[in-house]
Amino acid sequence: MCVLAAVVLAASTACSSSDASSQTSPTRGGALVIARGEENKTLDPAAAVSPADIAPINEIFDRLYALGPDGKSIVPSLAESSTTSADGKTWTFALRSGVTFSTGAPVTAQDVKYSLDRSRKSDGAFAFLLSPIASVRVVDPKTVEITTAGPSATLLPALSSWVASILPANLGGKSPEQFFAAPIGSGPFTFDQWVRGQYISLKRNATYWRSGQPLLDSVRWNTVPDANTRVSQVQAGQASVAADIPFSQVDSLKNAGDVTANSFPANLTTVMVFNQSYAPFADVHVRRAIASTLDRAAITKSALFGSGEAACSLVPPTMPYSANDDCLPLDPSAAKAELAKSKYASGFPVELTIDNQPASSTVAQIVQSELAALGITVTIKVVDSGQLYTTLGQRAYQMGYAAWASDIPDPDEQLTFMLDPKAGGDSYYTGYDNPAVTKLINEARVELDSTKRAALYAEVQRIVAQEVPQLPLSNQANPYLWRTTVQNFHVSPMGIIDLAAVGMSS
Amino acid sequence: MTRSSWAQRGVRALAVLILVMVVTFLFVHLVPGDPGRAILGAQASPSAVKDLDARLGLDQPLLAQFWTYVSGAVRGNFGASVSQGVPVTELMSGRLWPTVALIIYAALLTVVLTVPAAILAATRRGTAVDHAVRIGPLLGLGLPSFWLALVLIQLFAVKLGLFPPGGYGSTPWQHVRALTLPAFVIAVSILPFTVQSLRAAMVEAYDSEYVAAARARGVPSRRVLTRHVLTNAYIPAVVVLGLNIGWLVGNTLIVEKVFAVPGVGSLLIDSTLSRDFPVVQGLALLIAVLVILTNVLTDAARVRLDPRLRRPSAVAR
Repeated sequence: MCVLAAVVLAASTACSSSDASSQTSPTRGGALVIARGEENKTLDPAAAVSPADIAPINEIFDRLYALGPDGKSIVPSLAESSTTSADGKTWTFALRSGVTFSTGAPVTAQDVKYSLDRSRKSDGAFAFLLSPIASVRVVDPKTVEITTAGPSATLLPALSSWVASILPANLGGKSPEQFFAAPIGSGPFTFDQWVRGQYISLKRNATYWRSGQPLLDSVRWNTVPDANTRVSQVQAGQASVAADIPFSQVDSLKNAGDVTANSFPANLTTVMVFNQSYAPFADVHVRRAIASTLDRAAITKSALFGSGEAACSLVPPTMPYSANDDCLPLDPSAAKAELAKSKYASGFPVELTIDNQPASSTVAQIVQSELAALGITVTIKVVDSGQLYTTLGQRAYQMGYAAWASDIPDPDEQLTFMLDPKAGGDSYYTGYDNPAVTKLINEARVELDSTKRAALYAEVQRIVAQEVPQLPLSNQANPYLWRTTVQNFHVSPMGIIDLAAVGMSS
Repeated sequence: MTRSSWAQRGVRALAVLILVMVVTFLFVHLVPGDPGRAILGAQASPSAVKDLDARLGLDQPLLAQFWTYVSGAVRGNFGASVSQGVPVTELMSGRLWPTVALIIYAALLTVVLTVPAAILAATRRGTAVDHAVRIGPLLGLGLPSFWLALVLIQLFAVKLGLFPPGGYGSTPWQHVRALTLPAFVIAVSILPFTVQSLRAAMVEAYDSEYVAAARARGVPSRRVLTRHVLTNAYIPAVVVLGLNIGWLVGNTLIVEKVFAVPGVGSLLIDSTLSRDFPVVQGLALLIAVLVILTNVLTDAARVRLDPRLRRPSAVAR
């Protein structure tokens, strides 16, 4: 099972079984060209919001922690070790020695303090990821102390995210405009060139601290807006890797000569959201009836062509603390019985708001025909993809089709935003408010014992699987195409390619 | 053409520019969707979105925002991109040349394909060749550009490896290779109009008395074609090509996206989706200027090519 293998095995294991045996071990050298749809907007970790910007930022800079090879755990990177005080509020990090920026200057505690303070105090959209931090103190050049307001289970995952990238203190004396036009970091690759709208290229950092890495001489991301053209470019050899290829083509490209394709499980959940200001959805029986009616496996198959799994919990199985075997099973007669317990036994009309992506329209049509069995008549309203979350945010919808992708490998961000009505999003635009759930989430956030934390999150997931404030439909995978000369190609559930480990065979 | 008619043209061009500015401004501001949300993404809180919109000046009254836009635009300042923080003029100037090069290449290809096809049809009037030339390009009109583009990429780039499957390259020769397929796709879409008009004008010339007179004097048919027929017939074709440039620019936007040409088209689509108002406004104005400029140049070319149009001013002199 490809999907299972990717979760269990180390990141360096390619997923497709056919080329695993024929793989030659990668050698030093090679220029990797990645074709992807978006273009770069910024290289400032505090300002970056899109995957296109986060990818090069991840390679140019290091962080105190990194995502482990299993795609879930957090492993030390620039931090060599850490200790936590008994009250869980003071964290002391010993920095790895011998690490330098690509200019040759050593990475010191001063750089760490500057970088974390800069990001968390910035007005960037993801400064909140570092909000557990109350202060950062330089103990000595190789030791940093972080104080948190309370015990924080999300501190280490947040320190592994791109916003916590370590830059030279005071940007090496440059202005932000100067510095981010040619940024300096300690990561496996160094900045080479950026032509807006066309490409961004990085070169091998010869003084990178992990011995034997990186293997590639250079990495380059080309902006290719059309998905079919990305496929053609890899087929013709103009690019080595294509990101986000059409789901419908993954299967046919899996064993297609010089290229191979695969979908990598990702921390991305598509959900139906129910606006509880629309009277029928304030009734838990209505939501439960819908959950027992919609065939999530069929929806996943039609919309994603097998590039994903039917979802059970809001938290994807590739995420830590996912507990996903409690959801309501597909059961038409139970659904009818459930709806009979509500005031809407013979159904009701509802408007389903979706964006203008082809997959959304497929999903909406299946939902429309399946809910007809309950007497629920669905009208589909299509809005521009740039408009969808504004409409949802204004609660100007009845039922909606949305998605969630987490920014840290920890369920706190997702569960807080989706279930805590006071967290700024009205429980992901639904108005759901269950104080017991909010209390469990708040407890889990400050629980440093992972066993106890797992129990708290399991309870949250059990409750919402029964109350269905949102209905998870699919865990969508990331479809990629690459030339078979590319070795060790793997994409983590966070969407990160470990480029330092990627090589090319001649 | 008289001086006053040029002045009229100038006034008309200015009026069109002002209209374009008003309409694009209204369009980008009245279309639903707000930039703060587009930049910060689905997970940002409503208050963060509001803060960002305020910082971008989007909480100002519409009239005040329009004044900021117009007063900046007349000084060549279109503000900074909302999503990239870079001056709009800097973003546009980097994107202008691939688009201009693509349009010129497409126009050249159109001429290169039109002239032989029209000669072939007009000199063999009523034959199967004539019918084929008249019907063939119409098929091009029916083919969606993006579909033709994908087929050409699969055939000429992936299977035969003659051209790169999209991109722009970094040397002039690479630019030419990269733009060949996109220019061809655009040329195919405009070919039906230019071939038809050139053929019709040639047929008319062949039927004229001056051609009959030339033939009666024993002028060789090759010379009749080059000296008498083409010189009279190509003027309407040039006008048709020039007037279609606006339409051609619209087509360029789609073709650019499929072929990953880093021109203004892909920037326009991207900034429209991300509600990057200053960029959309700047680009709309730039495209309008390009189209107006081509129309003026077409007029000027027509005057240069057709002595009859110069006569009134010659008399005045």
